[in-house]
Amino acid sequence: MKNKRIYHKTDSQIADEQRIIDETCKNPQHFEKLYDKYYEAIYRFVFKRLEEKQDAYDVTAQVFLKALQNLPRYKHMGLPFSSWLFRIAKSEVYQFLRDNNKIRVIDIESTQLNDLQEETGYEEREMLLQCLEQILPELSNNELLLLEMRYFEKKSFKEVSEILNVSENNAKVKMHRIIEKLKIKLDNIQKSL
Amino acid sequence: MKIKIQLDRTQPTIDEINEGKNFSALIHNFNPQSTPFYKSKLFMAASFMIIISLVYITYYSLSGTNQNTAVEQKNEKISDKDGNVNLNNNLSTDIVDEKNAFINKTSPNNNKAPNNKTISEKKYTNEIQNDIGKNITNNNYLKLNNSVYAHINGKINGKIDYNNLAKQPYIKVSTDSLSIVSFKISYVLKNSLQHKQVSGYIIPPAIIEELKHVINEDKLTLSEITATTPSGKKINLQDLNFILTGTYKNSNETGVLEDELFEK
Repeated sequence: MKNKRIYHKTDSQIADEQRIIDETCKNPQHFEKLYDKYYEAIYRFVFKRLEEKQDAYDVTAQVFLKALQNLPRYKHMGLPFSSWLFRIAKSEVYQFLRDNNKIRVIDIESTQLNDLQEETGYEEREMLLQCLEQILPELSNNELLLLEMRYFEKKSFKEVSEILNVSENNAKVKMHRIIEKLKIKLDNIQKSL
Repeated sequence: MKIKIQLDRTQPTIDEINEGKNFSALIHNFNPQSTPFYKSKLFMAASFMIIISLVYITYYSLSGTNQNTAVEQKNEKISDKDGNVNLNNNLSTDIVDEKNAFINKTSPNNNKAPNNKTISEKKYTNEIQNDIGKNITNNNYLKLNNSVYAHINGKINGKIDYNNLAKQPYIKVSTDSLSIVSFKISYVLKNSLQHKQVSGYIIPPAIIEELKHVINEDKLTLSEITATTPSGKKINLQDLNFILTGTYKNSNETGVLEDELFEK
């Protein structure tokens, strides 16, 4: 299923969100509008990284609770509110995995491997997956998220950089390095065959 | 962290996603009244006040200790058995009076004291209150040993008793406020014209022997002095230029000044 594009917004949409945030600071009931708007996106983000559906419910609830608690400290820096929510989601997912010693899931749809295949120049999907299994555990949390969001969730570099709190150029450079690592790994696997 | 790749996993439907959606539960959990007391702003504020109070009490109790020390110092004799005067007390009014009396007594016009160990105090003023002065609270004079007084502005007025130093391998001479724990001595002996330096906290015996021959016009600089306060705080006096100038021996016949001390 294709996600609804909720990320990129006009200035007036961002201003509307800011108004809701201001109202929520006075009365938490106003948070419902933001909750309804972003619940699905946050749930999917969390679900893709956890094994159990129920865990994803719990973590998503925790994300919104944290957001509501910290809303008075939220400062509008020109970024969409959703990027702040995704940051909270990212940190809650890793917190949950650490606390419960759970397995980190990388959710890949076969169709989403095409771009990565093109990028690495390897058309054999099986080999690419085998390579990913080896290389993904070696990546840092942020690198892994970068790869996931860019290639498996089709997020733009702008969106990815805002969620990871890095510059867009930095995200591109990091992505390039990950691809290079992947290519080297693929070469090694091919040689060993 | 273990990682598992799941290929083409079944994605939840909208209905499944909405199963977990419960805004009222969120608001219920958020209810500020359910916030535990230890997380409340009142608790934070109270904790902060308690910490500030403890810091305040600790600080002033330590200051009180220093004040007590100062009171004890006031009761000490300001002259030692050798006729030297230790001016390292905190300068309460009566002490200042005593000090002024002492200065008059040891002024250049009347600078002979018993045992030829008079200290010229003509440079004594209250003008110096630099950073070091603040640390050692009004001690314009720093007693280095029984016969050497370092003026806190960097001048030493005193007779250097090297024999005495020889018995004290450490230049660690406590005053009530300050102990010197390391130093650097630079000196040029007129007869050798060699500039030498010694640093550390022990004067090597060979140097002591050499220093015994220091005569008038030889210049000694005691610098890079690190000192500690009674509370253990280290103070670096390296910016000060302590000049130890004086006569080693009483040489009346040769006309070398016996008791007058030389300023830089």
